[in-house]
Amino acid sequence: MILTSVPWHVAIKMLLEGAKMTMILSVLSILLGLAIGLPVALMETYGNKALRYVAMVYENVIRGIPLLAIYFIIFFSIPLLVGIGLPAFWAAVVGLGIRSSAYQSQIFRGGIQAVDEGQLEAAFSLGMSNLQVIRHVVLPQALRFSLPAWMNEYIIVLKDTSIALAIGIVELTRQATYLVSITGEPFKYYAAAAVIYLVIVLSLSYLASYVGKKYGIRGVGGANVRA
Amino acid sequence: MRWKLSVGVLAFILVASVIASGCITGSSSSTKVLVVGTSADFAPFEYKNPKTGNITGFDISLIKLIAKKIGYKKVKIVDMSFDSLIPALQSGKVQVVIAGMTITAKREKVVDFSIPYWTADQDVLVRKNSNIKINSIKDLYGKKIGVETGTTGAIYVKKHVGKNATIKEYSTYVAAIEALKNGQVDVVVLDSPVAKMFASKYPSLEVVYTIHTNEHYGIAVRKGDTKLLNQINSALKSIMNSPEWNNLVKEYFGS
Repeated sequence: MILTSVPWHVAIKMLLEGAKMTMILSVLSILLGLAIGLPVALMETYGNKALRYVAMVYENVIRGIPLLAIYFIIFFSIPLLVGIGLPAFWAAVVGLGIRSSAYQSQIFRGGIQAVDEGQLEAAFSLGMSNLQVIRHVVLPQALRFSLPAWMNEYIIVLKDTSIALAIGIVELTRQATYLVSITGEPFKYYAAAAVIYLVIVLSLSYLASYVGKKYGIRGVGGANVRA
Repeated sequence: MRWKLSVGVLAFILVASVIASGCITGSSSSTKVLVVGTSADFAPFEYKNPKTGNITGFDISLIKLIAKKIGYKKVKIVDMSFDSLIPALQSGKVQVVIAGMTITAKREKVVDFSIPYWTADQDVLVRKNSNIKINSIKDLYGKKIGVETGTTGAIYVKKHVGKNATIKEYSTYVAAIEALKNGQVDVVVLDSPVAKMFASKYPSLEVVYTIHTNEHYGIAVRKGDTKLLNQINSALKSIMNSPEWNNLVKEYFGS
């Protein structure tokens, strides 16, 4: 076999197929990270001593393990120990989601702590319960404060999907590698992949800034969000 | 409301993953499917055919022939990074690895290898206009040598040329070839068939010397999976002694 050239429409199709996997994987992972990270942030801010400690240990342990190692543990080690494991795609979502949850909890903790304490006192004095205060006073503001940093985290998750190749996930970068391997032309195809990543990131940044403006409150940090 | 939605999404993910994992683990052992691990960025041994979208190559055709001979109805190819292949074998994610993998003492400690099916000779590739002549390993002394990290070529050059030359390592052989074309290195040492492929793609490059490394590719199975290993070995022997072998070589290497 001689190195061949690939017609551009075939190459684009392969890259877009990879981009689809990249998008699906990154969106599911960031949502899983949100679902774990936000409660962890609340635990760390408002929990009792034990809950705070648990949240702190969770954050530090997860942030201390490289993503590749998390993948190896979830996909290769756990099945060896317990005899049952997740299929590659869900292992990739869980690994990336757990890793992101530790960073997202930091982001939300910052957002929660940025809510003025006087407002909490005022809310309590109106007779609101803890959960009501969190739901109606803290979160609406904290989430707005957190949006730019959260968008940043999404971009990191998006780019880190390529590490899932370690457990057999074929996404955008891998499709580019296929093309490079059969054509021997690295610049062309890695550049094309880079452009696709950029388009995804830019469109989502635009979306985030739109959401920030639409739901922003005048005079509150989230009103002029730029992500 | 939005809050409840995200909890719902999480619950969905968890339930779906438990169901999905149950299905997959339940079915793999009962049907006759051979699950093969490879790393499809090593044309012509394993690569993705852009026309069909399938992973193909010399190794893939070979393992399909073997699987058929030993009674597997289907072959499932799983592509992953080269470094993950041995962990995947050990954890039972794949039954066989065929990926242009050189049989080394270190790897033999953790997996079992079939009889060798390919000799991993290394070619020295140069720019035609550089007038570099290589007649023995010693002629590489003083040169800037490009290799791909972790490959037989890299290990061989480090061992036999070592400090007598500047060795530049690249993460892929494609990057090493680019460095050669740009003049960042004088020569590139890489697997014979792959080097010849690049020499025919780029008229400015040529193969000037072949190093006989005496190293071989093997098919890997889990340590202690003797039954499968014996089946693979006898199938491999009969294929290598039949015209099928020459057809395979012809199809992927054109000689």
